[in-house]
Amino acid sequence: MVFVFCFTVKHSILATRCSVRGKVLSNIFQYRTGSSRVTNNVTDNLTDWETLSKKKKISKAMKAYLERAKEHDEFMKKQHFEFNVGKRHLANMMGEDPETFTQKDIDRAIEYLFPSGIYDPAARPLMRSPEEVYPARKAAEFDEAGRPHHFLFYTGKASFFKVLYDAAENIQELQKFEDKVIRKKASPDPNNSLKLEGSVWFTKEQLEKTLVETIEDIEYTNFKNVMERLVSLPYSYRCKDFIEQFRKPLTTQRFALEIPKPNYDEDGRAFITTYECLRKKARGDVTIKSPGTGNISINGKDITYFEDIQSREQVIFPLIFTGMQDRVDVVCNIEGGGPSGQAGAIRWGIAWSLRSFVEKDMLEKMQVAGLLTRDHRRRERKKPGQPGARKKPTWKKR
Amino acid sequence: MISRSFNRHPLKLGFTFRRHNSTAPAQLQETTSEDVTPLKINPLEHPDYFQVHNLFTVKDLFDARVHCGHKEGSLNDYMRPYLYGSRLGHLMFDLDITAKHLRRALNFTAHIAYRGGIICFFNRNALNCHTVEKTAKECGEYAHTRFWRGGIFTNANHQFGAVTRLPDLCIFLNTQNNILNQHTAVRDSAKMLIPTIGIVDTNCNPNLITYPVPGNDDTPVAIELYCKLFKEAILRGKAERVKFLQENA
Amino acid sequence: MASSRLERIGTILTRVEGLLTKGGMKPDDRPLWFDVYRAFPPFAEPRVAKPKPEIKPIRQILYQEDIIRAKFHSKGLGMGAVNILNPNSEPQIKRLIKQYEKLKSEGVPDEELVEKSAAMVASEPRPENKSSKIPKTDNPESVTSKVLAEADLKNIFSEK
Repeated sequence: MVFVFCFTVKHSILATRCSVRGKVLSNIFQYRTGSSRVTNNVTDNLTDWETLSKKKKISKAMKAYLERAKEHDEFMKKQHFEFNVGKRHLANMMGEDPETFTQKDIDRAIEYLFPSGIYDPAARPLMRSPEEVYPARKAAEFDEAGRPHHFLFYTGKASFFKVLYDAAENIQELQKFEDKVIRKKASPDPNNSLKLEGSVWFTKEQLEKTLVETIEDIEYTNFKNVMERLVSLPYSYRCKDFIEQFRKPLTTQRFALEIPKPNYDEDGRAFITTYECLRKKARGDVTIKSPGTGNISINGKDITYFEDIQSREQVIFPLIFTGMQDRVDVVCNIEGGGPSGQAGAIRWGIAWSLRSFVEKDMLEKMQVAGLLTRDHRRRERKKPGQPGARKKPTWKKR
Repeated sequence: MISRSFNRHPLKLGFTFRRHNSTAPAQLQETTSEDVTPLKINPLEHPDYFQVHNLFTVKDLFDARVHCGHKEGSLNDYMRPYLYGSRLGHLMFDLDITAKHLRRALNFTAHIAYRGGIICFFNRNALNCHTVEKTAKECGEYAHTRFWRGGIFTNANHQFGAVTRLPDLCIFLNTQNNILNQHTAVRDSAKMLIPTIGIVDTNCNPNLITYPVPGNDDTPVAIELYCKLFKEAILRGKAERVKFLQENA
Repeated sequence: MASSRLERIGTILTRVEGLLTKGGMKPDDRPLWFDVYRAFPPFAEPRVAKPKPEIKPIRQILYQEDIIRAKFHSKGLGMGAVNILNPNSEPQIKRLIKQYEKLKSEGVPDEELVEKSAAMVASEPRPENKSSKIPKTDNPESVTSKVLAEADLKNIFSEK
């Protein structure tokens, strides 16, 4: 810029301009050298690491964690204080001793003082200790220098990948062991094999709960593949403990535990009475007597108590299904509801009582046929502004 | 520049260098009591303070098949200076160059371990995954051999739910995600000012890796060798660190 | 830590140096690796945009005996079972070449050399697999194996 200007002005000015330019340049030069000197100063006069490390330094991560932990502690302290004050107030209001006022008493007092018809119980007023209300905070996952405790920390799912790591480690060990056995020309002991019939792998949710980490679907698939591979090895019984950490036992003997033994009346006949046979608004009890001839008595009448065929079919269905229609007698007392509700209640009562008189595989069949399942459906209420529960008034565009 | 090259001379016992980048007064006291106590040397002024040069020989590298590269067609042009030649279409590394780079990388690793840095091993090859994780566990460092969720480094505080200290050195036992793409952590490390050591095969790009080591990154034997070497270097650094901490306790 | 995330500009060292000189980072807060990097810089700067190295034709690695190898392989004789657990085991082709050269020095005519040496190698007993134990893959003379075998870390530095 200065240079172009020089050509357009007179000679005398040119000289001064030149001198100015020279000054500017030298200034820039000085500035440059100055800055480079600064550079050298900063990067050459660094305190060496050995000296720096003598000062006790806490990492930024730990500092942040400590700050948060302190904040959290103070918050919890305050919440505790408020909870205790509230508890004493409640006790005084209920006229009880504040010292022996337990959580149970608090719940009772709240229910009494603040009755709530809100459908969802979680939305009703409550008063609990702060530990229950606020979820527990994660403890620090790193030490004072900021080094994480877990060697797979940076994967973000340390415990899950640790499981995979352990599985791989076990697989390698078992393969080494197998090689050793083969070299000794021995074969696996059949008595020692791993029996896994009675249990299944954890579901994804169960695994997530045990590991306290969220897992993707693909990761769960990987987990199962790895574990199946481990189990398929001939010496997998050697790491039984590891495998069983991730298996849940199946509950198969469901009927064996619950089925009652029949009682005997004065004639020596076995009988079972099932109370609380419910369906819709009908309720009653059913007694099955064996041996019998297929007599059915409902409130003192026979099967013609029901006038429609459908209800009669409902009542005798469990008897026909199990093939007991002429081997047992049925006595029921039923009240409330209409014919289909009563028939349904009796049907369930008969099926439930028959459990004591049939074979185990028949039980399974009854279960599959839905005879042993209670029907909990109730009448749906009528809604305002419309004629029925779901029925709407006839719709006209205008 | 002159002072630095002067510092690189092999160090003889009983001989101290002037410390250029130190303002520590302790050094002056040491020089005065020269003949009483053995001299403390700055590890950075020693060319090979942790003696990593004796960890392996070129023959070891050859036995571990470090020299084998991929086929000519997949060659990355930036890998050309590290090649020895091509044997019937298969590229071979010059193991002298590899050894030079590997020694520098090991020395760097040992120094970082000596300073208490966090070292994280990376590998995306499922075949070698367990070896790498095991190495990391055995030397008390960290490993990430799984799917890389984006943002572990660049968005760490959010990902881990707290302020997190990132690794001080990333060691890549292979730098590729699959055969085509580079591992995202290579880029993210460079972004977050984390130095990287990477075993780069003939199909990898060494540019972003701070200390590239040309060599075979697929064969399990080779990976085992690298793992052993890095583990040993880290353990040497840590042993020296323990000594240092005890002296200054 | 203040830092620039532009990994395509300069190297990690130049970016940290820039921050230090301009005061964006305190000298005591510099990364742990900074001094080590400066003392032991990599052989090539880790820049993204490096000019491509000069593209020279790649040297072909060929040996004298490749001609003999080709002769065997063209007749499908070169391949044989190899014990890959034993690093000292000789592949089939190596034994063929030895035999070939031996026969050649004995003056066997060129046309018969290939067939004759193949027949001789096939008839000679296989030297390996005498012991059932799998041989050690490590080279016992190597420095690595020595160093790793000792692995007495506490005494490594005691000599100094």
